[in-house]
Amino acid sequence: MDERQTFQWDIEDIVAAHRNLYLEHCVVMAVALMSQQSASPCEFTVECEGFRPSALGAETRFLLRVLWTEQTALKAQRVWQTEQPRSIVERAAVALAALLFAKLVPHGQMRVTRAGDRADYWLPRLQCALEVSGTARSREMPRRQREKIVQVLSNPLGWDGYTVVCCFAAARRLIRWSYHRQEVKSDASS
Amino acid sequence: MRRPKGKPYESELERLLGEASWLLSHAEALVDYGRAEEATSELARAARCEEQVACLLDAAGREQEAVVHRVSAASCHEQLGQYTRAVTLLRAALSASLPGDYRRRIEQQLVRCLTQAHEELHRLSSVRLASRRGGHGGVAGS
Repeated sequence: MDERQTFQWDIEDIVAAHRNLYLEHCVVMAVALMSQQSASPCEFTVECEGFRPSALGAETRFLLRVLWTEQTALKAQRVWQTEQPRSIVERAAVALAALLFAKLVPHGQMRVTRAGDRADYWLPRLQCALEVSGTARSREMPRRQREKIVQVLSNPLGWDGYTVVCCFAAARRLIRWSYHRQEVKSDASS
Repeated sequence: MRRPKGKPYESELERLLGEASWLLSHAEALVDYGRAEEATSELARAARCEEQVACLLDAAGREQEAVVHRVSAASCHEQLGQYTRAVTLLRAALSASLPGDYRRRIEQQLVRCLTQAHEELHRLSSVRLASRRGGHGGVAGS
């Protein structure tokens, strides 16, 4: 029997939880991806590194069960006709990251800025940067996580950072959620 | 110069920070949905909001954050094809004290925008020249 702590939430909750982001499309894309593999709820193993949400107690792993409504499922059916798979996976990862911060991290409201052609996510009340990535292949996870750690720690504000890397492989749905401190605050150059 | 302080100012700044973020994410969603015209108009609003936020952060003494939002505004203008405006904002961002790798990224973006601005100027000159050769002769509309 699986004795990991289990949390079960509606993915649609992120829309109200993160008022400074428009996340409806991320919800729909997450459901498009999850519903290919599972009926609602879809299960993910979540592994925390470098921190533990207080709700977890002494554990660093838990089971996340993500629910969605029939209405969202209907919208999600159309997504595969119009969107690129890579874009769907990345937006789905943003949705799951938003769910974790909304439910398990006090003051975990997210904001976004743009830097060139990429989006940078921030947790302003925690003074942290956030990097999110998604993949459909479990063997890509270690490399993605390494890249995201480097990126999050090179944020221009010199803030500490979280990374959330989601794997949507049917055989192994996994989220690696980690916290990283700036070891040495970088000196500013003029 | 006295800095504006106090809760009403800070809450207005926080509201604008939130609005800029919402507009950016909405513009991104509209791009995803293939609604290009609406995405363009939302991105333009986001750019204006980010510029305003950057000025207010400067005024509040939060210079590093101001740079992040100025670069964000520049990135919107770049996506909108408004390269000269992007160049102005990126140059302003580079006038601040920045971590080395972040400065390099902004400089790369600046080079990209300058190249695009130059090409745009070249295109406009070619169009004008072609229109004169087409027999319109005089200076139109002046």
